[in-house]
Amino acid sequence: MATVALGSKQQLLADLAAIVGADHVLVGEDLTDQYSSDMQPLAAGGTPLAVVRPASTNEVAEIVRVCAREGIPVVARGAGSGMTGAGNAIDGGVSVVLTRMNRILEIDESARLAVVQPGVVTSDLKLAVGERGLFYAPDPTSSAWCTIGGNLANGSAGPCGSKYGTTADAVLALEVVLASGEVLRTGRKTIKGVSGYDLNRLFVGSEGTLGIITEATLALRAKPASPATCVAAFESVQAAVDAVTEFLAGGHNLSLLELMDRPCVAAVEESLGASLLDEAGTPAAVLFGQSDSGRSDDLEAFEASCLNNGATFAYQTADAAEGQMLMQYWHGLEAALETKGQWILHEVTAPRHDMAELIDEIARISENTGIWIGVHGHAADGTVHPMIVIDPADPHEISLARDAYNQIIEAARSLGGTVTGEHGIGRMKKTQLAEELGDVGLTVHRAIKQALDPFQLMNPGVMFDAPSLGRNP
Amino acid sequence: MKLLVLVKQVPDTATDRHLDAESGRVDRASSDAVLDEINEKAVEAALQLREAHPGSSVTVLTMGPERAAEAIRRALAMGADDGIHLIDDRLAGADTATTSHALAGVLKELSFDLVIAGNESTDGRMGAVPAMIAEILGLPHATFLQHFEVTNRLVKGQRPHHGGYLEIEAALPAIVSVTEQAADARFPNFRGIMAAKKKPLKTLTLSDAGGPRQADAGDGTCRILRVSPRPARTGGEKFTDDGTGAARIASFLTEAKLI
Repeated sequence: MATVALGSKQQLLADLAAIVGADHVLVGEDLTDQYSSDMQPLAAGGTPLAVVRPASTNEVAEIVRVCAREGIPVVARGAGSGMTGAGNAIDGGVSVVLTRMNRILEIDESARLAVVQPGVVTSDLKLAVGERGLFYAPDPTSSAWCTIGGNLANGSAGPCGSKYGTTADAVLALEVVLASGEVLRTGRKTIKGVSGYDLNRLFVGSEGTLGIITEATLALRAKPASPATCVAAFESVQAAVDAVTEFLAGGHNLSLLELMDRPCVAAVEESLGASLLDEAGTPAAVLFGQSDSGRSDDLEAFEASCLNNGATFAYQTADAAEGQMLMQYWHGLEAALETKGQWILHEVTAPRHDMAELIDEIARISENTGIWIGVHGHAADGTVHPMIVIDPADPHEISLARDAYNQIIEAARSLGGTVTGEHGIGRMKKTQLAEELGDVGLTVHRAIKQALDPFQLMNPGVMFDAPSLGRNP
Repeated sequence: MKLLVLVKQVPDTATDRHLDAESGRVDRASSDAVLDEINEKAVEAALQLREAHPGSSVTVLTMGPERAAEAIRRALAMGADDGIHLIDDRLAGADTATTSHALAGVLKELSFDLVIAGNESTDGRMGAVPAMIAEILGLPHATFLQHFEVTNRLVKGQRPHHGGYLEIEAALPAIVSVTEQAADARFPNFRGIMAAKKKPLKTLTLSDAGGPRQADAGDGTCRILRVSPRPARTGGEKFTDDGTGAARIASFLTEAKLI
């Protein structure tokens, strides 16, 4: 924890108020509590010295300079939708909330790009470019409220990732405030560019540890067709995975290809008051597929692969209203779980063809710990989202949930997977990241951190620990 | 028993809903359209009655533009047996009386035991159509029921009333409407969604629908005089608490007649 003398603290607050205006410097737990943590209940948030809400890049740079002068750590934050505690406040630190910087600065239809501030809500960007016949592809499921800045800092993805790529793939250029207070521009506006190191990809996914992103130039695509939908039910997760294997081997892809396991489907059935199929028993796995190609061959191939691999039910529709009804069984999962307790949206990524084994292992972990865990995932790319549901007031359950969380990471890694495919490291997966990176990998990471943030100003304690500076971190 | 459910497609209450500034009509294009939630409960009540009285059927009737067919298909996906869609350009912007006459015209040609409706739509909110239809057709109406059942050709239900209940009964054929307290509607399941497409959906125009009086939008009994948008929200009053804060809040609330 950074300790600051009282007089110095008052000076700091006064300096911050001079930069953003007194209305945008929040002090006191009543006001700062809501910025303390993100959506990860297992990562405790701290009590910041202040929460500041800048309105411009200059203000962000000045805030960083003032904090650097006093050695106060800085945490950048968007909407707080993260799942790893990367946006959590640090005791005695300053949280820089970017939500006031929410303007779409430019939409260039012929160059197919948009220039945005980090506080733009993802779905607002999608809507705005949609009105111009364009498409910002990355679709984290929290799009209705998560911000572009958070997506960038995290390297977020979403269901469309296997067809359209991740956030990182959509970045043309960034503006970043560095720990020195300098403003860096990375990337380019052209379709291709290899001038110097690929700094875009350094900062995307850096989780606020190397700088604060204050502007982004994002690539857009032509607006796809309205999606057609296909759903299929299976008696085993393996059958569903095999169906996807066969489908992908045919050279097809879909704009959405999601899998839900039995516990998840059962939870949704209960919450909607409907059993998915009329027959007794919830299916072991359900696949939801959507195609925005405007052609029918991809969804036809998908339905055929499902039936070839033992689907007990398969149905496709190009009708938007029908598609919405079918997809409600997927969209409704979080609301369904809310009636069971607090959910922790975990994420690990394994080789796609091993997904069934991973999901079966997670079911075993659930049984052994006695904690409810349901799994859904991006069936085309191997990312699984175990939903761990606990009673947040029960310390024993919290401890078991933490065990389950770590065991799940182990399970993915032992299948040759990675600690994270989309959610990032934050404060939750540091140990496992160090193991995955290995000594050389960690040394390189620390060297980069040292080069850009020698005084460990930027989100210390997230992703990995830098060597101690000889004062309390 | 032949059960008939009146349904309406309305702008989704979860989205921004707008009135056209000139005509005062609901701007249906500007927001998502859904089967009105109270109608889902009406359909649910009908489905449960069908389960309790084997051999019964559930028909869904709506009056609306082309998109309104989605509301019927939603009801069919829930389990209703067939649908009727009354669609006619002359009915655009129809008021309550015109709507009631038009629907009564359709009902006159059908045989049914019980018509079930929602008590009030979320867009028009007149809450009068079920009773108006009953008057036109000379049928009893038992409206605003939170629960009802049918035995021996009688429908009996409870209407909340001044902290208690009125027990109401009517002989079939009759018209009832349900309130928000009625049972939650089931969500359509995969098989239901698949089956909906194949269920009969008849489309009628005003000319097809006979009735005691030919309905026409010009015959409406209500006229919209003026439409004005909701006034913009003001910034509110901001002050620093120097010890008088509580008193100032109390007087603010009193002036606003909130306490």
